[in-house]
Amino acid sequence: MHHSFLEYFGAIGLSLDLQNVDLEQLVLLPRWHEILTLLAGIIGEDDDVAPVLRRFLQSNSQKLKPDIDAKLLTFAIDCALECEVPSEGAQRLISESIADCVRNGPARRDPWVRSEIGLRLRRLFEVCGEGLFDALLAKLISDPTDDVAAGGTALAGYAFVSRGGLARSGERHQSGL
Amino acid sequence: MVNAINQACSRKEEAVLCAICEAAAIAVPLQTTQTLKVIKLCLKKGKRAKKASLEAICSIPGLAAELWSEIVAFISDEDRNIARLASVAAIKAGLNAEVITLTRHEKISYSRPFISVETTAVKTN
Repeated sequence: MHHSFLEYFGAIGLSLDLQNVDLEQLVLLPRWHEILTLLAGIIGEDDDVAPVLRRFLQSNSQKLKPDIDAKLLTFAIDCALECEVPSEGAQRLISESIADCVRNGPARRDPWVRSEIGLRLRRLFEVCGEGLFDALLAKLISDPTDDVAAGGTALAGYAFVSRGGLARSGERHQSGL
Repeated sequence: MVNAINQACSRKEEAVLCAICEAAAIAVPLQTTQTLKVIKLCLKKGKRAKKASLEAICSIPGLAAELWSEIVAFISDEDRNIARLASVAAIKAGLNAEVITLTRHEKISYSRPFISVETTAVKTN
């Protein structure tokens, strides 16, 4: 059987027994990511995806590996984007997690993390409209701490990136500048 | 959000100013009067700010032409990255910059032949 079918059936199986599945552990294994993304899409069809996203984000709650935070956050956003329109709860959760990642996490300093989150914010703007995420960026940009304000500004740049800018930002990452 | 960025343009911290340059370089909606002022201002700041500013100048069409004299000065900068970015900006500025940097007298003298051709054409018609 083709791998895609196995992944889809795996996601269906997980959706039927969500409470007994250790999602917090599975999300740390890259080979499960495709299945969990499908799972988020399946749940999002007729239910709120926010509780599942919260479980993904909590898998590193002890902060043993701070670098995992950004990967979990970008993965949670990808999962939310699997839904036609992410629920309000999911949008709020993502917004709070982005704010936390810029204030206390790797997005405060790391340009790569900022670009990864910023480009996903761009897609969230397209899907969800500006309301919640616009307010988030405005709040971060006007933060009195310079690193946080810089992080918010960088996210805004990627969220509104134009086609030419997208190519240039890619070039910049490739050349390591 | 654009308002928040415009307000942030009055801040002095280098990290914020660099981020504004980087954001304006890639996002057209963020290329406002205030952010363009920050890009020009950063040319007079530290190395990091200069680099961010020159990268933005390379990305925003027409801006290099306005800052021709500063860009030319940076081409011989000690810092290789700054010199490289200034060279790229100078190439991108191209012909526009050459015309803009001409003095008023030079512009008039260069445009005279074209004006006379135009008036002759009008007379013959």
